[in-house]
Amino acid sequence: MSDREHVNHLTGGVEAWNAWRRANPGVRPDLSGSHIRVRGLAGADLRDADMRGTLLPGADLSGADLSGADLSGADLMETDLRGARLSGADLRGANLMGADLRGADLAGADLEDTVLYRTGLEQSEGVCHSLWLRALMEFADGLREVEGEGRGFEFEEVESAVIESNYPAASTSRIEVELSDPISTRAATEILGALNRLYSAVADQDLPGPIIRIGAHDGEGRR
Amino acid sequence: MNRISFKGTSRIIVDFAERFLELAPVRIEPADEVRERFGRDLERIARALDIELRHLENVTDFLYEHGVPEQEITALCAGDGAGISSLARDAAVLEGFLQDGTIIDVRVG
Repeated sequence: MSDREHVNHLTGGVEAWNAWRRANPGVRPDLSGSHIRVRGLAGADLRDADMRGTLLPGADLSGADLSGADLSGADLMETDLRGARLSGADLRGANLMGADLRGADLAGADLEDTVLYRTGLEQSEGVCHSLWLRALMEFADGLREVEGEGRGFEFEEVESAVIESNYPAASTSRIEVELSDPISTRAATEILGALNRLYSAVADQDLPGPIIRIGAHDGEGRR
Repeated sequence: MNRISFKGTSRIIVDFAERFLELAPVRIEPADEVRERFGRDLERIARALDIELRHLENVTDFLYEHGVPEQEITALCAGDGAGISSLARDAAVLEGFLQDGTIIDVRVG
């Protein structure tokens, strides 16, 4: 369970929280299992915090430092994590559905079983190869979910997957593959799998890692 | 619209689209050295696993062209050739979906 004093510090606002962190550099914040109802946490210093199972849905964590934090099982649904530092964070099993991770640093983050459905990852840095695979799997899960609701599969919820490398625009090109509509889950996942395996067979040689965005987008990759 | 898009270094992306998504006006033939170094293995794998040789050659040439070390390619072709045949099957899958109209259009930009 969380340390009530620590939770109270955080709910007192980012400025006070960061001041408390500076004054207590040896204290590891324990926010585990708590429901943080304050939404304005932009720029918060949450380095190495214990946030296992913490509920933060819809919070503004843009620019926050969550490097090394244990966020396993945390509910970060629809949070604003733009530009956040999540390097080395443990995000296993965390719910990032609908979160905005554009520009976030995810280098070395553990994303096993992380829910990335409809998650904005555009321009995120340091996304590892396994994330690509994981995101494709989540993408496929999303498709199955839609199919399971008896509406048939028409990419109603998941319109596209964007896989991008964080290379300078000048040296990059984009392939756009238009698929039949509707399309079966089997065909969609087979195509995604084949593209992924073939491309990553050589991309491993010189790409730092792909970046994935799942969800509706237009032809220019904007949400 | 159902669409998959992905972005990477231009050199790889363009070659990928030409080879596997049929954007090349004519089929890309493997380099002579690819046939010299791996041809025998690829023919053996094609016979044993009933995979079209052209797919095996295409993926091998793709790997070679983009700097995958020769020893890694050799390892993919070793034994029953499971590694290289898996990639060749992926190439065949994409070709099949292009031919049956599941993949409607491919653009590179």
